[in-house]
Amino acid sequence: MDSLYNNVDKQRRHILKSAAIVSAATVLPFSTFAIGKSRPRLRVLGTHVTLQDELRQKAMDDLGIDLIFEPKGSAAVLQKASMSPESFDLYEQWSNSINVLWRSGSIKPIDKRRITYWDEINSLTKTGRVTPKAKIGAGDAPYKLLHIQKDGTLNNNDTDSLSYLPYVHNVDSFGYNTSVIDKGIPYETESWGWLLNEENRGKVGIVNEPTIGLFDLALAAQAKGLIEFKNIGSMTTRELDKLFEILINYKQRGHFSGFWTSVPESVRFMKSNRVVIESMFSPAVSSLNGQNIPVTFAAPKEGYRGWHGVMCLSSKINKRQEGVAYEYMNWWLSGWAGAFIARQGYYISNSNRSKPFLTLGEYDYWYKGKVAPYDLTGTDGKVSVKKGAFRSGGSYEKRFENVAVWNTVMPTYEYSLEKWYEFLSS
Amino acid sequence: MKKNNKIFSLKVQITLFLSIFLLIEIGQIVFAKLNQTQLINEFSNYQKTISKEKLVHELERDVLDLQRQVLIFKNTGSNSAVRRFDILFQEIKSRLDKIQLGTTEGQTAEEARIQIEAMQFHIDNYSTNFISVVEGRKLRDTYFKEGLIGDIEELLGSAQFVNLTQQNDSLKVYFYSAENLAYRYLLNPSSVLNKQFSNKLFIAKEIVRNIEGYAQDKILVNAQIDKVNKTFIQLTHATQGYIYLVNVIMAGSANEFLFLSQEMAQKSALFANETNQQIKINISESQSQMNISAIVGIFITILIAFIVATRIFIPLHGITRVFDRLAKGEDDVDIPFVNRKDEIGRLAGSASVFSKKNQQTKELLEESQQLNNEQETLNLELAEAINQAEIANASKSRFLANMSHEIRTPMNGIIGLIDMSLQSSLDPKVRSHLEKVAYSSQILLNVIKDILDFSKIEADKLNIENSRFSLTILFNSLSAFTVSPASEKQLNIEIFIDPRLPLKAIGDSLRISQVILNLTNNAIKFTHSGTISVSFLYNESDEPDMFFLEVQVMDSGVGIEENRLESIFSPFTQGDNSISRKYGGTGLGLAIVKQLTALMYGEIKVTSKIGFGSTFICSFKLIREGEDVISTTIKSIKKELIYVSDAPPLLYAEYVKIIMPAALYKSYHEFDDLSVQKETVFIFDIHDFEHAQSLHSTFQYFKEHKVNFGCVTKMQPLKLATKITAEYQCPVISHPFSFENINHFISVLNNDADINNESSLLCKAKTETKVAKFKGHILLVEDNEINQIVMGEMLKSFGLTYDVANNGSEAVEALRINRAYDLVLMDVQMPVLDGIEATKIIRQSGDITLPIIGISAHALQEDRDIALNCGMNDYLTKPIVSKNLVNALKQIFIPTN
Repeated sequence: MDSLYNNVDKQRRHILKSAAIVSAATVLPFSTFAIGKSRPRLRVLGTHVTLQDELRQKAMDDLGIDLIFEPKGSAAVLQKASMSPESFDLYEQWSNSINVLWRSGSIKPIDKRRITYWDEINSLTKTGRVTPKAKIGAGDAPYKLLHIQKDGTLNNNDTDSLSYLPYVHNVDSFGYNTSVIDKGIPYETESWGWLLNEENRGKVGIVNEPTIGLFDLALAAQAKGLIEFKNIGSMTTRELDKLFEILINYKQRGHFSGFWTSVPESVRFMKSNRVVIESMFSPAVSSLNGQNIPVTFAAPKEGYRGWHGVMCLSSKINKRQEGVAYEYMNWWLSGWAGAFIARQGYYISNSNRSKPFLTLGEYDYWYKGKVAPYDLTGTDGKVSVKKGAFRSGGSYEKRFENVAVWNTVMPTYEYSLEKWYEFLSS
Repeated sequence: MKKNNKIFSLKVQITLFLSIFLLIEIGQIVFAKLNQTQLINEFSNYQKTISKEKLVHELERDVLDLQRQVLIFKNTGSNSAVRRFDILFQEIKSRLDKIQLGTTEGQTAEEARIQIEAMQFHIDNYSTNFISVVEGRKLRDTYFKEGLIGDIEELLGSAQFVNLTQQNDSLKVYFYSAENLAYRYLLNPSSVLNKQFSNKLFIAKEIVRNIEGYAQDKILVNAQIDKVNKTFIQLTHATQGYIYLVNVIMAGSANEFLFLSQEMAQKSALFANETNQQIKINISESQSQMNISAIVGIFITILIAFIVATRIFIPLHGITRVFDRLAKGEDDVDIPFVNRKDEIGRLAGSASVFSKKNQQTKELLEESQQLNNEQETLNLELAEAINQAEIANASKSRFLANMSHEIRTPMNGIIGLIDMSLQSSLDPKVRSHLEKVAYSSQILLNVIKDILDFSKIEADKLNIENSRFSLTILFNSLSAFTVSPASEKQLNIEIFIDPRLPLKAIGDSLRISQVILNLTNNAIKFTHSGTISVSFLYNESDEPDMFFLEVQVMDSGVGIEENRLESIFSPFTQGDNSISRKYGGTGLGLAIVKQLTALMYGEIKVTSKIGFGSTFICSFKLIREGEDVISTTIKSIKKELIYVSDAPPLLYAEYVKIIMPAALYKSYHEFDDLSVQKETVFIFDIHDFEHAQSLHSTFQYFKEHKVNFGCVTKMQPLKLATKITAEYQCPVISHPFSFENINHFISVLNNDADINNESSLLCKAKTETKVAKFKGHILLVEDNEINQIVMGEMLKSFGLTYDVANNGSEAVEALRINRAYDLVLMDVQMPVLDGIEATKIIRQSGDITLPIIGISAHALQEDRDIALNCGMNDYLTKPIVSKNLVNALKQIFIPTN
């Protein structure tokens, strides 16, 4: 998913930076282990969603440490993490990768007691519901993976050992151009089914990621009544066969215009009018609205597709690095970082800590789902939210009450990859 | 009007039509060219687009092939698929480059660039990911063959495992089924198999745990099981990794690539189709436009031809005929097209003008013939008038000649008789009276001479002779004529002669003398005391062999008022009206001088200051005769020379420079200090006798020591020179001196000559008193009785005898009778038979040796020429002065005294 947030330039820039950092590391191979003299250095493997340079600089300044960010594509991140835990100290990705990572032994338990603001972490990852009436959501709901049990399994039974630190998360759906498609009513008329509406044929974009796009399409097919899943978070091969039969049929009729692999690409798809409706992530919607393209991020009546960021400790981390890693994890929850990512549309698990770092207008818009009282600027300094706009889907709670499915690596994951290939190549 | 003409001009019209025609043609050509270019462009675009479309389709085919290779590899791990992938990848890259270099028709360059860049990006990613896939698959194989299977075999064959299986035989089964699951996973990766594999190992571990004892073996086996499990997890990761890349990432890239290429192909196809349509439309449009412009062109050509024919050729033909007729001189010609405003109209206008001019020419011809006649009459009249004027002028000249003759004849009598009377002894009172009568007669004669000269010049009858003459003789005689009257008024005369002047020249010496004497006489006349300086100067001329003789006559006389300086050269004017009263004269002198100098290519100028005198400067252009100059004739002193003078030396410095170039000039004061040397010659300027006496002791000393010295004096006092010579026996020269005087003076100083044998010009002039005596018998032919007496008396005074004949006839008769005459003095104008005819008869009679001297009052040259031509030996003009007669007689008789 990280690669989705990329464009070529950004990648290039980061590669250059990484190269510089790597070379520095070669010059001073063991400096971090020298006694008390050098600045501690932390290597973070992850995706662009959280490995942003502003965050790195701020953290280095605040903590007096050196941070080395290694952003990679989602598959690559997972593969590298699972196969060589010695290559990183901290890992940042999505909850759907936790099962794989944990089984591979690449990560070690996080001591909950060393997380300063643990008590402030909201109930989403603790009980699975932000409010009592909230749906749990199908698939690997993050709360099911948080606690490490004595037998090594992961579930929601409270222990002091955590498989991940809950922090950044959000719900996604699809965006649509209201100059082409009539604006619908959130949670009432807006439906995943629109992705398969005949009138949108040739103008539909889907994210090229089976653990994400598959659910968008599954929700759409289900909404259209073309298929019924027993458990949408764990589709059977038969269900997959049926689903892809439907989808390939659509595709062969030219229903899908493109499969995007990065947020900028999804922006281009919409901006160039190649699509009028597509799978979307929050920053793309902000960007398009900032460019006066009237894109509405739908609040589908079927519910959102949720995702949750995870921060994990390498199983090969040494003691000293571990201390620094905890400092960094605590820094993330200390407010500033949460406020920073809030302006990109993401939520932090302890939002109250970030509230002082946001203006009231910002907090009201991003968290409360209220009308923006004035123009809001994004982290790039440009206006991303016009005065008078309000966040589709409403408040944080409202949105997370309506999670239909979480991004999930299903047992039929490998099969879905085959089907996905068939679908793309059909 | 002019503007209209220009607009209506045929030139403009034709130019206009031709321009329009030309413009249409050019337009047609340009249009055709543009069309052609557009067509070519469109066609080339079309072709490019078609080829691009083809290229894009090839690209699609290659990408599909690429995917096929990936699938083959994914399923078989075939190396040939990898190689084929590389080849295809390179082909795709090069095709992309071709497309990029090619046309961008159907989309903007920016769009095309972005699209191709996107395609390149996707294909590069595809390739990069494929490398990862190859690696991932290799890794999986390694994990499987060397890792997992090896680990299981090792486990199964290990001693500890054998020990444990002896306790529970079923243990083996789990590993076999795990191995089986691993194979199945390899064939068909699935999380289900994954979980099952883990379960089998979990159960195996449970079994191991339940076996009692063998603690050491159990630990070893558990570790081995963990290792197998871990290897399997890594195997699944590697598998998932490359499958993910192939199925998601690469499939996405390929999908996007194909989307872009399809879009490009569609656009190209669309553009090609549009271009094709456009080409068809353009061809048909340009065809119809060509047709239209061709029709318009033909129409305009016909129009121009029609216009040229009707507007130009036909009228031109008409006008030509009109001109033909006009040229033939026809008067009654109707001229067409006169009202037209173009060139034809102008031609017609010209024709009518031509016609009018024809008329006018005829009239003019008549008029001019009439005028010619009148002119002829006038010419005749004019010729007559000229003739008459010439006759009148000739009459005037003749009148003047006659008049002078008529006056001269009695004057001859008067002067001759007075001359004779004065030679006899007379009562002093009577002598005084007669002398005054003689003087008056002389003046009267001069007046007559002036009048005659003037009238000759006026009548253009005065000829300037060009004959060889000696300048020194000219100057000497001028000196002589000047000295005499000047000495009478006690005036000093100084004459300077430029030594550069040639000795001889060609010109009219008589007229030069006349001019100079006129000026000197005037100077003497108007000067009462002081000096008259005459300078003869040499001026070079631009012409070869020519020079100017410049004469300056400077007096210290009364002077001329400035406002009269111009008018004095006009006839009958004098410096002052009172002058004629006081000084007499005709007022013709200077007028004659001016005319004469002009005739001799010279000029005359005058400057003057009242009370201080006047300077006349005149010049004559002469031809140089020979190379000798005057300076060569001057002798030199062989010793050193000291010239003593207190004022500018009286002997001109120009002369002294020749005489002794190293001469020293000393003042009298300086001279006192000189120690006398024998080898030095001294010249002293002496002003009067007292001055000479003051030098007495010096002169005495010189005498004693035989030092040569000489003196120079002015003309006045007159006797000074003689006195000094007498007193000191030294040579003296006085102004005005000739070069002969100077040479003698030098000779004496050089001890080459005596002091005597030399007289001044003044002395010479005074010695001409002795009357010549001849012996002979003369026939005097003269009709006038008084003149017979005068001439007779003259002849008698010369000791000659004579007979008288009253006219030519008598003379011829007398000669026929008596041939014993030594000379005939023949008057020219006589009744019965004049002197000319008589002479002719005498000569015709065969008497050619008898000298005949003509005597006439006619002073004109032509009269003289006639006389000499008819056979006379000489010609004298009346009044006969004894001196002239003597000179003539000297040619024939030898004086007896």
